Amino acid sequence: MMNPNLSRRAALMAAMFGSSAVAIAGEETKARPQRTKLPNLVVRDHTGKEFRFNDDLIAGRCVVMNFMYVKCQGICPDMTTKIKQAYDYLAGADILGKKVWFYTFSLNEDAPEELAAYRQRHEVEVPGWSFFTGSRDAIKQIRWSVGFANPTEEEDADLDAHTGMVRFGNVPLDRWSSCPALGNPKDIARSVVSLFPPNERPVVKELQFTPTRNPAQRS
Amino acid sequence: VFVALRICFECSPEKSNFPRKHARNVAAVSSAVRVAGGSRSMDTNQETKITRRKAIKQSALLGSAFLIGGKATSLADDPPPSPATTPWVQPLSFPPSADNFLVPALNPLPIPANHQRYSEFIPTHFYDIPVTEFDFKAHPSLPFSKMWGYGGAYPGVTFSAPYQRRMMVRFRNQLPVSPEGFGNPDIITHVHNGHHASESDGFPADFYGPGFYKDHHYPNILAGNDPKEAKCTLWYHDHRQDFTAQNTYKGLAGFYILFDELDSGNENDPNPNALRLPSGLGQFDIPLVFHDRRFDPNGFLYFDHMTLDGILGDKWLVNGRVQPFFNVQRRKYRFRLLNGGPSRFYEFWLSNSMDFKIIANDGNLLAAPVTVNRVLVSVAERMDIIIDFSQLPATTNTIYLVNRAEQTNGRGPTGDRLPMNEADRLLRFNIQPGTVNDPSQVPAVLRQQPAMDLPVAKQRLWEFDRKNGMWTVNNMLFDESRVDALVKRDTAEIWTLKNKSGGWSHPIHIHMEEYRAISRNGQTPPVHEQGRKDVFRLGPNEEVKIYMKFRDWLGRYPMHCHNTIHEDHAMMIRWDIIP
Repeated sequence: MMNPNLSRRAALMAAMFGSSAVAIAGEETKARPQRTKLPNLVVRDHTGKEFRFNDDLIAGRCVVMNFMYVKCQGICPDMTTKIKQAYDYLAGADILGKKVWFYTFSLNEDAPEELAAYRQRHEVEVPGWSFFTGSRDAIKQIRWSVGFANPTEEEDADLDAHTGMVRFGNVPLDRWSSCPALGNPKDIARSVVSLFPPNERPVVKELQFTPTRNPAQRS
Repeated sequence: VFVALRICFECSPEKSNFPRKHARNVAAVSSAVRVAGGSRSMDTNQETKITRRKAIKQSALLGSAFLIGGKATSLADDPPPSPATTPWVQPLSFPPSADNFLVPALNPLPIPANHQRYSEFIPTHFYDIPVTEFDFKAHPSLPFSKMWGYGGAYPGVTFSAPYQRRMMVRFRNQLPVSPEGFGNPDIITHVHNGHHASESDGFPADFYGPGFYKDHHYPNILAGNDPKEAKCTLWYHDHRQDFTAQNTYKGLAGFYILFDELDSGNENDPNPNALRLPSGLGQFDIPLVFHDRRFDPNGFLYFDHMTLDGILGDKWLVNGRVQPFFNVQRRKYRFRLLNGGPSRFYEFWLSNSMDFKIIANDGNLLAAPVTVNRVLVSVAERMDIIIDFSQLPATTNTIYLVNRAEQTNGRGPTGDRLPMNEADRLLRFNIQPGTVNDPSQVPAVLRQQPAMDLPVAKQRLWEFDRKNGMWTVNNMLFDESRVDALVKRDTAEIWTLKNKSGGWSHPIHIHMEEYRAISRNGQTPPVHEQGRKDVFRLGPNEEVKIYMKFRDWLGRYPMHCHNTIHEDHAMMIRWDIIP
């Protein structure tokens, strides 16, 4: 049984901080650990269709997210290539666009048609991978909400220094992590695989790790 | 009921909606410059200048953003402060012994062919350790949170063994398959500064899921069969690639303590070679692991997924309990301080600024004790210290172990020192009245340091940096299949570890052996860093040169940043030892 002082405090804190899991005195047994919350801002995909970030794109899904802009002469082309390679490792697993969605967000208010052209140019017109644009502020809020920021506002606003990280998450399990886009694309694909419970993971031969001489044994 | 928050009017969160947790040293910007009062010069121990006054405690700072600048905080901003808890209401506790899990034989039997040099070090002690999920509360007023632990305990069960004990430890993964929230139920266990074969070391890619086990062969040999290489305070923890921070935060870490003829664990040892340091685990020899943690408004353990800099807690857990007390007698105690991470640095002081003696750094006894009144300990570092409570006046019945390193985000300490009256109080010592017999001693000579006698075969430079939000080592991102350095067994090398990343601190850990720092920023390292180490703290733009030997084992090992958030985001290399 929870300390009643705690439940009062929890209710107060929850009310103050807008917790979704408000603990009301007497109902503390219903309290659950707070889940990751993401903003519900409006974005448009490469066809121009509008979506709410949290409700339409995040809730209930496994997601893989990165940030780029069309005219980037820095890391973006390489990043797109590597993510495509990761996508290809998973293509045979029947999860893309069904359990796992790839999202790429424009940092520079690129128009939907520019994103569509980019998809075509980079040969990433594949199911389950959409490109999104939105107001600079909305994309910034989304980017911050998934933990990608530089330490000062000036650096954070510098497009040349923009993030090369990939955020991935299993929203129903509230399991999240991230990895750099520019490493071995197998590691991006492995990250996606790691979102699933061990007994539900797609088995992709190419993604096996270097074998150890001392493998784990079944109990 | 709701008393914990103090409001900071200096910080003006309304001025900007930039997420506080990402902003560079917010408190430092507004803090007044002031020389820390009352502390005498401690050059031998003064690694980082922590000299400016802290404007306000971090927890209050976080709270202020919510109280004053409600509209200013975004969803990306810091989580709310933990619920208030009353300190000093629970005693310091100790995890159970791993000996509880000793079995006559493992079933099925271990596979000898899976292990290097098995026939030379045939195991004699077998441990069968379940790794499980359980309900745990770090404070009586918090609800139960789901924790993970070795041997069903948080912190995990404590291994303690004499050197040369030939151990085979089976870690059985019995975690749930689909846990909600942070943590990934794959595990791979690493004994931090264990001198073990690669296949038992816990390479990050060697993880395995629930329903499986792995046998780790720990023969506890001396590196190069040199008694000067004996170690004392080790620890073990999960090392699952990409999820080490979450899994260790959830509880997968414990102590691993070794004794030898000098450091025999017996303050009454009749052996003339024995040092007779304060002894008796849990009695006068006290392992302390420090975990800063955050709890959500409902009181459940909370892990902030959405930052790459590092995460800070606002609750001070010692051996898994929030701000416990410890009743001590007026005599000498040995404390084995372990910074269990994930990202915070501690500058340990006693609240009366009294001196203590450092006897070991990173689990390696020094040549001689070093008397200090403070010590900076970065993530994963250990510091064995002796506190002599008999030095206190009879009228003193309470002192505190405190942290005075100011840190406002996961990047590292600000370089400012908290005033003593605003220091983070971690543990309260209740000094018992009356005098007691104290047979323990702290000899002026502890352990001779091993010679740096092998010729240097190669020098390497490793630069730790951040580019486009990605952590890099020599511009590389970790790839378990790529070998970034090949070293020959029974050779020596000099590695230069250089932090180029500007505002970040990186505690760099190298597996396999203990290494000697030969310079820090071109200067002789402080005296307590002149022994052997396995974690090298790199402050912004710092450079440490180390001498390394590679003996006894072959295979792959990592070097990585031990801010586990950085580690999980590819700030790691693989290096291999070949014949």
